This record gives sequence, C-alpha cells and structure tokens, in this order.
Amino acid sequence: MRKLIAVVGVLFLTGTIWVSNTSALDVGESEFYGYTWVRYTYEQEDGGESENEFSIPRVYLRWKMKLDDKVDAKVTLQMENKHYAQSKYDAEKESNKSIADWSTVVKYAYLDLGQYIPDGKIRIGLQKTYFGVIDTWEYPLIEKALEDKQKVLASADLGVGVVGYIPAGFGEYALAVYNGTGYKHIEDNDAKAVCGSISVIPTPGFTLRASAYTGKKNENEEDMRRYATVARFAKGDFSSFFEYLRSEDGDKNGGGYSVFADYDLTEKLSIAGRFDRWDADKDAEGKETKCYIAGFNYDLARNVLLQVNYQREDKETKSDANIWRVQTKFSW
Amino acid sequence: MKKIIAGLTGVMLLIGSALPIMAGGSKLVLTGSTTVFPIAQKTAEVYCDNHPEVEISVRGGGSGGGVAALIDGTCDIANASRPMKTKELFKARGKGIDPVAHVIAMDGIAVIVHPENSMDKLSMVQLKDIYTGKISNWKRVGGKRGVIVVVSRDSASGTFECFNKMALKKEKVRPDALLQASNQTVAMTVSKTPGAIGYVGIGYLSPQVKALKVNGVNPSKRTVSNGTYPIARPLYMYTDGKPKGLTGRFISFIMSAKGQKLVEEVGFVSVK
Repeated sequence: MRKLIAVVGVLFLTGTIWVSNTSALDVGESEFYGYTWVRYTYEQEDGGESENEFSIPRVYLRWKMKLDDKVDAKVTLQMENKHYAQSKYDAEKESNKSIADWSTVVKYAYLDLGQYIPDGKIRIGLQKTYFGVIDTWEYPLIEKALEDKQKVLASADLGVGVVGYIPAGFGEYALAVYNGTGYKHIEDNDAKAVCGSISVIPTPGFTLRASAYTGKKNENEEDMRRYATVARFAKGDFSSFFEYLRSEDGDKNGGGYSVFADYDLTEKLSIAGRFDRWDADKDAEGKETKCYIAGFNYDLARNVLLQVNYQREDKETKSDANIWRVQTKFSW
Repeated sequence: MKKIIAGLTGVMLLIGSALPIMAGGSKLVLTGSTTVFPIAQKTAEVYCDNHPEVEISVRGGGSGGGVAALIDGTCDIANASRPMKTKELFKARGKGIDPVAHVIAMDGIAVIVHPENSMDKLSMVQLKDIYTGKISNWKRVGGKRGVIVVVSRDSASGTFECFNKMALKKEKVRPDALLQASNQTVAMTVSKTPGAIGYVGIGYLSPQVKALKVNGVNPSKRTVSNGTYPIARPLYMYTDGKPKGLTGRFISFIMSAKGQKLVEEVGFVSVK
C-alpha cells in the first residue's frame, strides 16, 4: 500500500522542490541567473562559397530583486560575440584584426511598481518592446523572431510602460512610451515612440494578440509605424502561432508573416518548424525573402539544451543559402 | 493574404485538436500545497486500498508549485490553499489548460506559540502589529517580557497568501521574520523557540505547540465551520477542465461522504 503513495518526503519536509522553480522572492532577496549559447554555424550559398565558425552569440547575466512587497527590479546584461559570421568580418580592415570582438550592453534595467494597478505594474526603465512575438519568443528555434531578424523593431527600449492582466486570466495588455531607438542606440530625436498590445484568450489554448507601434525614425523624424496580429494555438504537447506583420517607414511599406509550430515528442525531445515570408518594400523589386526552418531540441541534462536547426533562405536578388546550426544553451 | 491566414489558422487548429490529449490511465499525480498534503495523502491511501490497480503520487512544495505543475502538465491535480492568481490563470489558459477549482475542505489558520508561553489569546490588531513589526515584545500584548520571534511562510506559500490577506490586510511582514517552507517546519521552529509565534493550518496543531484564541475564538473545526474563527479559508484541488477518468473518480471520492470523513480525520473541516 505504502509503495503506491510516492511521497517525496525530504522535499516535502524542506519544501524546496518548487520554491526555487517558481522564483518567488521574499522582500530583500535577490536572484542571479542567466544563460549562454555556444553555436556552430555552417552556411553554404547556392553556387557560391561556404563559411563555418564557432561562436558565442549571447551571454545573458540577470539579476532579479524584490525591493518591497510589490516593488521588483530586474537587470540583464547582454554580452555578445559581434561578428559571428565570417561574411560580416572585414579582414581587410587593419583595425579589425586586433579588436576584442566582444561587447556588453544593458538589455533590461527596470523597476516594477505593482501597488497602483490591480494585477498590473508600472514599469520604468529599459524594458521589452511589447509587440507581436518579439517579447515572447523564447528561441525554440535558433533564429530570432521575424520582426527581430528583419530589424523591424528593437526587442528592448528605454521608457515607461504599464503591463497587466485582464481579470480571470482572459488576457493581458501592455502600453509603453519609449525613446524609439532601441536598447543599443541613444535617442536621436525629440519624438517618442508609443507601443501597445492586447492579448485575449477567448477559449483555453487559443490566444489572439494585436499590437501597434508608432514613432519617428532618426534625426529626420520620418514616420515609422508597425502593426502585428498574432494567433496562437496550444494543446497538450503542441503549440503554434501565425503572425502577420506590417511596417510603414515614410512612403515605404513592408509586410510579411511567420508561421511556427512545435511538438514535444518526449519529455526531453521536441521538434519545431517555421516559415517566414517578408517583403521589406512592397513597391520595389527584389526585396522579398523566404525562410524555412526545421529543427529539434533535446535536453542533454538539467538546464542544458541542444538545438539542431536547418534553415533555407530564399532571397530575390541575392544568392539563396542553406544554413546548418548546432547550439547548446546552458542556463543557471 | 486573407485566404492564406484563414487557411493556416485552420490547419493549426486541426493539427492541434487531432493530437492526443493526456490520457487518464491508472496513475494520478497530485502536487502542491503543504496544507492540503495530509488530505491528499490520506484520501490517496484509502482510495488505493480500494483500487489496488491505481497508483497515486502525492507531492508537496506549496500552492504556487502545484499550480505551476498543472500548467506544465506534470500533474493531474494541483493542491492549493489559495485561489489561483490572475497571472497563473492567464498562463494556464494560454497553454490550453482550463483550470477548474474544487473546494474540498475548509481550514482555519491557527496562530501558534511555544507551549510554555503564558499568552492564550491575541486580537487581530495585535496579531497584525506583531507580524508587521509594530510590536516586538510579548509584554506589549500582556505576556511576560521577552522578544517576539516571528515565524512566517515563504511567499510561494498559499498559507502565507491567505494569512497576509486576512490577518495582515496585505501589509508586509517584518523583514527579520524567519521564513519557513512548510507548515511542519513552522510548527517545528515554534515548538523549539520559546519566544516564537507562527501560523499553521489547523490540521498541523499538536501538543508541541499552543494555539492562541484570535479575537477570543479558538481555532477548531467547529469555529471554522460556523464562521466565527476569523482566519479561515477554503482549500482547493484544481484540475484541467471538468475532471474525467481517474481524476474525476478521485475528486468524486474526496467529495463523497467517505472522503469528507477522511478530511475531518486529518484535522480539517468538511464542506458537506
């Protein structure tokens, strides 16, 4: 009889099993965590040259602090190995031959004030851009989210936001005012960008999100608008989304979409696929690209993930390319 | 473009709905609240006695952990001593989980001190002042001179959430409070520390600690049941949707007269 009741005795007594996983900090406590990618890339252009390299595209160091009952703060440092593709490395430049190819930037640094809005927070500082899938993409594939890959938007920016949940868990919302230049650049004009997103879950597993972003670009203050609509579906071990994306930069209109799906085959193994189509300027010729990605994720050990991806890039005016990537991600 | 969007969305929905949903089988995993743990353990034992083909795994770890496990699909039933938060409901719904709450018992949160402490009662105001740090000596509330050692639960605990809401009116606990991860460790710490004060579910009362009256009312099944004890709350089991198969049969068993009798046996208050 007793053997049928599998009680995790020690863990129950100490109560530590889930406490660490839920990361519920008490006032005055802080937590240090982060992750690192180590990647191998082999790229072969159709009828052209091939390149391959090892790289460390990202190291994230994160601190989370609970300053008061409803006041939290978070800081994330992003270290990156900048060239990570031989094509971007200009060997002819004498200065490039000796530079340390690393940079460190602050990705997030914000304060959350949770005492003013029920189920919501006022967020002050360098924070996510609440748009499309760029703020929720957790890299089930090695490639960035479509808007990040196509540089439609920066994934983080400096400003003030309000984020929160719709009662009973039927959705969430975010509204923020940013510099509009992204986290790697200083403000270059007097205009501020405004970004808003709302997600609703009409039925469990089906999420709809609409996002809009408007601002001025560069010192000329050219109009810059972005729109995204996302439909997500999740059930059991399956999840997927479809994102439609539109960009307007002055008179230039771009658009495209991204379709993604993944499935957990076992507790440790999952497969994923994505198709992107993007046209940076619909009125101009030769700006359309297509991207096909397929891959799998395997948990090598606790907090160690192996990712293997094949990616096909079809470009209208440049050579098409086949890219293979193998990456380990270890987090702590 | 509209056709493509509609087509792709349709395909996604079709693929998703055709995939196998977690099967019931003869195994059941319950995870979560340490307060609900004795109820889950006792009812699981009796259920397995009557159904030898069934395996039931009962784990503790706190309400937050149980809810997280339900969302991740690593348990069938999440035990919780508080209702799910909006953030948790959002995460669950986004992952295709439809959390359904089952109130399986009522509980009182008993305020406990060392057995040799001369105190036998506190008002709600005094309790709040002690936990928020306004009062730090037993003499201030009618006891013998001595520093009050405040023992509380970590913030992942549903018992903490309820105590914080009902007794402290959401004010913060004094920063030097000793934080414990379970009802048992709170009781153990208080039983070994003469100046300590703590709080546990009434199912965890024992001769090793002394329960205080709150606003003149003893924490007991009767006072929780009749609503006179001021720090009382429902206890929950959460399932994904209306429970079916083994999960449904187990929940029905707990809600039955026999199950509710077991709830009473382990020191909690029946809901029927």
